Amino acid sequence: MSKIDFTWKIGGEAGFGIASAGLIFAKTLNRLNYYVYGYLEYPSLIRGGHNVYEVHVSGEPVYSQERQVDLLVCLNTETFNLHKNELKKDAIIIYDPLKTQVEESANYKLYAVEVSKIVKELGGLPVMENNLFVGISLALLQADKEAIFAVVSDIFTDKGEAVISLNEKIIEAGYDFVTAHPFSFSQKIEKLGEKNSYVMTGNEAISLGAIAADCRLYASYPMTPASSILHILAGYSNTSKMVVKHVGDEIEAINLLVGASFSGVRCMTGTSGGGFALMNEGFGLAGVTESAMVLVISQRPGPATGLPTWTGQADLQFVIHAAQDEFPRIVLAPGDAEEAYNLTQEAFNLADKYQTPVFVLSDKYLSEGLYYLQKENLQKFPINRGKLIPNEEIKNQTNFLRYAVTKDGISPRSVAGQENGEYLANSYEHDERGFATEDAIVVKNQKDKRQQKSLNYLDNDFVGPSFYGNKEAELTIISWGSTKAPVLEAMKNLGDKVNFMHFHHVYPLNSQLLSKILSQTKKSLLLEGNGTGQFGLLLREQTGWQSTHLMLKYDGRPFYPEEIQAKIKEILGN
Amino acid sequence: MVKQANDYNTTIRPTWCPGCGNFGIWAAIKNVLASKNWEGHNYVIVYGVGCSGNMADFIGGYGLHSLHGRSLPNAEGIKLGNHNLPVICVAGDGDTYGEAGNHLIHAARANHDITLIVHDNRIYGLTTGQASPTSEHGFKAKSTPNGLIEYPVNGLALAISEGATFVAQGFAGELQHLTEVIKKAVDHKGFSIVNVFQPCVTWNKLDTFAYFKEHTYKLEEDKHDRHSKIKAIELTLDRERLPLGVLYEEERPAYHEQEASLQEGTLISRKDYSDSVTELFKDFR
Ligand SMILES: Cc1ncc(C[n+]2csc(CCOP(=O)(O)OP(=O)(O)O)c2C)c(N)n1
Ligand code: SF4
Ligand SMILES: [Mg+2]
Repeated sequence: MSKIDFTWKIGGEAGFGIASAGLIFAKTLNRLNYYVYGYLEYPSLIRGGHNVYEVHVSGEPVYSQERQVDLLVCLNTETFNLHKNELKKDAIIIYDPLKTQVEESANYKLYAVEVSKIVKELGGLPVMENNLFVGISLALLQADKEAIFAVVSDIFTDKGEAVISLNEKIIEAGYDFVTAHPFSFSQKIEKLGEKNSYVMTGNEAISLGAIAADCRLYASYPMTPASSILHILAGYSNTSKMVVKHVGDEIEAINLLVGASFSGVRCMTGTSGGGFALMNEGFGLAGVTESAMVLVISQRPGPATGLPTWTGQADLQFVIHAAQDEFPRIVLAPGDAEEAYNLTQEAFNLADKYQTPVFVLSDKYLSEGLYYLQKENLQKFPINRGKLIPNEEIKNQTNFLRYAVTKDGISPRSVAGQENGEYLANSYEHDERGFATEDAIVVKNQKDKRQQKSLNYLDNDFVGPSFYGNKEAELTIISWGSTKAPVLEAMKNLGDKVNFMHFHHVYPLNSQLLSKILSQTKKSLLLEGNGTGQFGLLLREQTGWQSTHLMLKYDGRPFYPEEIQAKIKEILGN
Repeated sequence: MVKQANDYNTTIRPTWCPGCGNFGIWAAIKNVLASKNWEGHNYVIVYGVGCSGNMADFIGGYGLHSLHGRSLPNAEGIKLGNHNLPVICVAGDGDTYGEAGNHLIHAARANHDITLIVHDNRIYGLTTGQASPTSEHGFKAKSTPNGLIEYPVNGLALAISEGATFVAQGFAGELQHLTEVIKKAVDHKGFSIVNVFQPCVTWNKLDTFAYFKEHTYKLEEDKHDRHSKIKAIELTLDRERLPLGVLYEEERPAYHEQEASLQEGTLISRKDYSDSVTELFKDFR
C-alpha cells in the first residue's frame, strides 16, 4: 500500500496553459496508477485573470480537491501572493526567479528554476513554460519520465512531431535540472500495480455516456459550464456519427429535440440555468407531446448571467418546477464522472421508457472537475427504446392511438414516416389520436395518464440513495449530485461516527421509501450548494422529515473536505 | 388509387369563420398533397399556434401542432431525424415574423429543407384582432387604438437576405395559382418560404379579398429574373403592388446534404454506433 497523498497546484495568468499543464500532470499520474482529482478555477475571461489548476494525488482512492497544498507552482507573483497561505508543512514552491517574486519563510521551501530562460534557449515559446514546470514537478517526485513523454505525445498528436519533440525536450530539461539540483521531497512516485482507470471531466463522461446510449442528435447553444459537451461531441462526431448542431438559440435547441423525438431519434441538449430558462416553454411542449429527450443542465450560481465559471446547486427547484402546469420529468444528479457516464445512459432509457424529458443535473464542479473512473464500474446499458412500436405490430392497425390511455400511463409510440402510425403531436390538450380537445373527461384522462408515468417510475425505476460508511453512525450526512466528492474525501478522517447518504435520483422521490430510511437517522447534516436547502425542502415536502443540521454554500466555491470536517466536529462536539 | 384533396380531411370540420382566407390555403395544401399522391405517412406538417395553426386538426397524416412561433425548429428536428420526409410548416404572420424572427433567420441561413407557409392576414386572428408585424403603419386595432407606430416587417426580403433559397408569395383567393406555388416550394430542395395573403374577414377590414385582388399581380416567369436577390427584394418593397409567384430561387445544397453524419442515410435508419465509445475511452488514459 502506498502512503502517497499530496496536492500539486499550478497558477498563472489565463492563456498560459494552466489547465493543459494540470491535465498532463494528472494523466501522467493516472498512467502510473495513482488516483487523481483535478480542479480548475478561472474567471470568465479569455486573457488575463488568475487561473489555477490543482491535482490531488493519492495511492488510495481520492475524491476531491483539498484546501492545503504540498507543491505550489507559481507562473507569476500573483499566484505566490494568493496561495502562499494555503500550504502544508514543508510544502515546496517552484517558481521562476526571473518572473516571480517570492518571500522566504520557515513555513515552506523554495525551489527556483529559471524556466523562462531555459525554454527560450531550447527554442520554445513562453506558453510552453507550463510544461517545463510540469517536468520539474514530476522530476522532483521522481516519476518515470517515459510516462509523461507518452502523455505528451498523445495530447499533442494532432499538432505534429515537431511540437511533440520540442515539448519532450523541454520536459527533459526539467529532469536534467532536478538531477543537477537535487532536492529531497517526502513523496516519491513509483509506478503502482495496474488499476485500469481513466481520467476525465464530468462533461466528458456525460458525452461518452450519450454516445454509449446511441444518442444521435445533440443540439445546443454554448453556455458555460455546459459548452464543452458541445465541443466534445462535435469533436467525436466523425466516429459516433452523431449530428451535433450549434443552434441559433436555446429555444431552437429544445424545439429541435421535440422534432427529433417525433422522428424517433435519441436526442440531447446541454445548457446552464439561463439557457434552460429560455427553454421552458419548449420543455412543456416536450412534456405534453410525451417526447423523449435528455437535458443536461450544468448549474452555475446566480440569476441572470451570474458567475459563469463557478459552481452551485441552486437550480434544483427550478428544473423540478420548470414550465407551466404539471407533467412528469425525471431528474438524475450524478455525484462523479463514473455516475455521470452511467446515469446519462440511464437517462436515455428512462426518457424512452416514460416518453418524457429527463434531466442530467450537473454543475461546474462536476462538469469541469477531473475524476478518475474505474473501468470495472463503467456500465454499458442495453438500449431500451420503451414502447416504440415495431413495424410488424403497427402494420395491421387501422386506428393507431398514439396517446391511448393505458394502465401504466405509457402509450405505444410511432415515429414520423412509419406507415399506419399517423398522429398529431399536440401542444394543445388532446385526445388519444392527438386532436385538440376541451372535453372535460378526455382532458382529465390524458393528464392522469401522463401523471401515471411518474408513479410508474417511482415503483419501477426510482433508485434510492447510496450509503457510505458505518450503518450505526451518530451522524448522517445527506447530499445530492456533485457534493458527493468532497463529502467522501472528508469522511476519510471521520471514522465511524459519520455515514453518508448520497442521492443521485433526485426527482421524483419515493416518499414511502424515503420516510423509512430518513426516520432511521440520528443526527443529520444536509449539505447543499444553495442558499435555501432546496433538496432538504423537497425531502420535507415529500416526507415531513427535516435534517437536524444544515450546511449550505452559495459563494460559487465548491465544498472543501476540511470545512466539512470542521462542521462535523462542531456538531459532534469534539 | 389516385388521391383527391378531400382524402386528406379528418373527421373534424374546420372551425374558421365562414369566408376566412384559411380555407383557400387549406385547399391548396391538400391539392399539393394529392398531386403527390402521398399517404399520411409520406409527409409531416408542423403547425404554429393561431387560427392558421388550427389547420392541424383538419389535415390527416403525421402532424405536430407546435407552440406559437416554434414550428420551424420542430420541423428542423424532424428533418434531421429523417431527411427523407417532406416537412411543411403552417404558420401565422404573428407566429413567424413576431415570435419566430430568430428561427426564420437561422432556418434560412442553414437552408434546412423545409417549406414554410405563412398565413399573412396582417392581424392576430386567434387572439381576437391585434395588429401583427405585417399590419400597415397607422393600423388601428384593439392594442393600437391610436394607430400602429411601427412599419410592417418585410418578411420575404428578410428571408432572401438571410439565405432562403426559395421565396414566393401567394394569395388565398387564387387557389390554382397558390397550389402551383406551394407545389414548387415543396419540390424545392432547401429552405422555401411562401407568404400567403389570407384575408381575415372578422378582424381585418382593411386587408380584404377585394383589397388583395386589386393590389396583387402575378409575376410572369419570362419577365422576372428569379435568380437575382436584388430584383426580388426590390419587388417586395412596393406595398401597393404585391407580386404573386416565385420571387427568388437558388440552388444550394440543403443542410442535411452537407452534414457529414447524414451521408450514409437518415439518422433514424442508420446503424447503431454506440459501440464506438470503446475506442474513444483510449483518449482518457
Ligand atoms: C408564447 C405565446 N404567446 C402568446 C400566445 C397567444 N397567441 C396565440 S395565437 C397568437 C397570435 C396569432 O396571430 P398569428 O400568428 O398572426 O396567427 P393567426 O391567428 O392570425 O392565424 C397569440 C399572440 C401563445 N399561444 N403563446
Ligand atoms: S378570426 Fe380571422 S383568421 Fe381567424 S378564422 Fe376568423 S376570419 Fe379566419
Ligand atoms: Mg395572423
